[in-house]
Amino acid sequence: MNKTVTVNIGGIVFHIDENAYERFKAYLESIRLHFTTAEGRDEIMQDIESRIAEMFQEKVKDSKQVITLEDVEEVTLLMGRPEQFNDSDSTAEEKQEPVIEGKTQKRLYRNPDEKIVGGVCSGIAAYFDIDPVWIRLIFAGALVFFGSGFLLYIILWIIIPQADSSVEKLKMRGEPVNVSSIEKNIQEGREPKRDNFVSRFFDGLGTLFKYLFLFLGKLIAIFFLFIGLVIGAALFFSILALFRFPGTQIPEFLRHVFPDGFQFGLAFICAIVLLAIPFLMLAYAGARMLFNIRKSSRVVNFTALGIWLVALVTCLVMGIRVGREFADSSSVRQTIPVSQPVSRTMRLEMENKEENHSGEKKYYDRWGNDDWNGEFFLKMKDGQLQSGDIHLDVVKSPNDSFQLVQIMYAHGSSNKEASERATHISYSLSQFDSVMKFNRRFIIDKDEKYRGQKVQLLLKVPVGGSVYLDHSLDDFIYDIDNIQNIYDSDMLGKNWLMTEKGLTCVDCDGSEDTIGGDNYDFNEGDSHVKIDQHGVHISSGEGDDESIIKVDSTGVEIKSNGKTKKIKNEGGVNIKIN
Amino acid sequence: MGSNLENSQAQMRKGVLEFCILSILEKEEIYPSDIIAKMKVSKLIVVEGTLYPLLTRLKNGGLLQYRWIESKSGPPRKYYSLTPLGTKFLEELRSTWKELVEAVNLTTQKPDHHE
Repeated sequence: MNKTVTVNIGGIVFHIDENAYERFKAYLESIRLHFTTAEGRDEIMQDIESRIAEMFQEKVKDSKQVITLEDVEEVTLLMGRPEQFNDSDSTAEEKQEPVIEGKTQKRLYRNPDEKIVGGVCSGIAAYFDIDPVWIRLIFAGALVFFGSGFLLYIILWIIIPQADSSVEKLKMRGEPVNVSSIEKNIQEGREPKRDNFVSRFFDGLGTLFKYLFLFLGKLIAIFFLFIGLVIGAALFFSILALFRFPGTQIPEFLRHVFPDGFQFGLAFICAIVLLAIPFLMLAYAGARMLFNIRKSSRVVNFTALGIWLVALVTCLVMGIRVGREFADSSSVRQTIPVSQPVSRTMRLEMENKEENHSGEKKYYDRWGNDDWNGEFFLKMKDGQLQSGDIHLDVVKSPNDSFQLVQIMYAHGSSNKEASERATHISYSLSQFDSVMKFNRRFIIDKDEKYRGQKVQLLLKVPVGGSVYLDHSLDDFIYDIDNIQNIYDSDMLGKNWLMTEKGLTCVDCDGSEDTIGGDNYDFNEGDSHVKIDQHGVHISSGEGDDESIIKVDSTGVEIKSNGKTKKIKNEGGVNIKIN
Repeated sequence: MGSNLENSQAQMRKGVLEFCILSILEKEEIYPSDIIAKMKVSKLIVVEGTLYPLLTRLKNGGLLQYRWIESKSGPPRKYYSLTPLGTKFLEELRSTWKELVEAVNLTTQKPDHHE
């Protein structure tokens, strides 16, 4: 019984025994190699194949449908071996043994004919022309001693190609590649392969892993394609926000940074392109992996790179131009007249607080957005650019009256420009006797761009005077120093009295969050560290074994083993030790 | 000596091979394997494979032309014939051959055969 192969010779289908097929293939290959240099090789091959097809056709009968090895041998005899052709091509004589590869180069391949696992060892052995047993021993040794042999083997298995064709097998052994050596190799190759259970098992395993890797590769490819497309598309969609397309938003303040709408649009599109192109290329790589397209299109690559670079340069140029406008900064101080309340108590609250009041919830967010619709702290209102970047601090007054100072900050290309810009800021508040109502926003200016303008309000309270901070001031007050170190948000809704030491809470109940950073109290077993306004106290142990170090404004005291030593701090640098 | 002889014989055959093929083609439009059949008798060609490169070369040189003819047993066949240039070329070869034969006869005649 023989396995047959179906072949197409000169346009006619033949069934041919497998061994006969191998021989026939080798024969055709040897002819092809013979004519490497001859002109019209393809035509000659075609003619010869057609003739062979005709000869085969004569061999095939109803009772014998398959081309056998004998048929092939007979036909080969008639057609002749290439070296019998004696074709009078002038070059034929010198090129009796045409070397196909200019030089015989030895290459590392896996040897499929002498393999136990993947043919790695026998391939390496062939490369160094030694017995594969030695290489196998080395790998086995590495496996036992370091376990690294396994990993190395797997890696080599993956990266070294298998010698499939005759030419590759010859290169593997470093034999010259020419017609006769190929034929010789093919005849040898027809000897049965070493085919044992182990190698079959690993073959199957190898195939399994191959498909597993292929599958994983496809999964990764799909992931790349998906991620790349989704993010790329999302980015491009965001360009629509430029045209105020419904459902899209861009940070509003950016619009007010650029000199005009065109420059802003250009910068925005460039930034999007800059971000989107890497994702689209990722999608492209994914698609290539998915559809097994090895080569990436140069046109696509260079176009993408070109566009990306143009976008990069544009972004840089525009960024630098805008950045220059922020180069310098300046501030302007202004005292706002305050009418002194009779009661020496000032109630501080927000303008329009009823409007925005919604239960106990915050009235404004950090940047003073009373209606969160994607706009940032900058807002166009009534044709004016407004900013919510304004904060209030409460400090001690140097004299006996309430004072309000507003400090206006701005950036500009020069200090002069910055301070001029700062003076353009306008802010308004209202006072009705003891009630001071703040505006959440200040006005930058009609024709002014956003150049980092911000406002800091300082309310100076005289010693003995007090303020009430209304809940509506949430996120408006910022880091107000007070003796209790209570957080801003817990300062709301309470009365605060200004003392010589600072602001102190009148009606706090101790439930307020305080800033821990100023007081430190730590216990671990018998050890105790305490840092507060009085000084540092470190102690360890109990009873007679207790050791203490105390540092305060009067000096340093060390107590150990029941005895105390004190270094007194008297009159500056003079240190007196008791 | 054996391989030397073989080589010389091969060289001699090679030289007249073209001449013979062109001569055969002069008479009729013919299919390569028929050429083989005619030439095998004269032992000028041992294997068929010799013919195909030769025909292709002559065709590319403008001496031959061919046309496809359907075949009952196998792929379509190429039937070759001489082009006008080929006919002229053959005439040249023929006269050269005649001169050559005379020259060879003259130089290789055995002395005792002298008339």
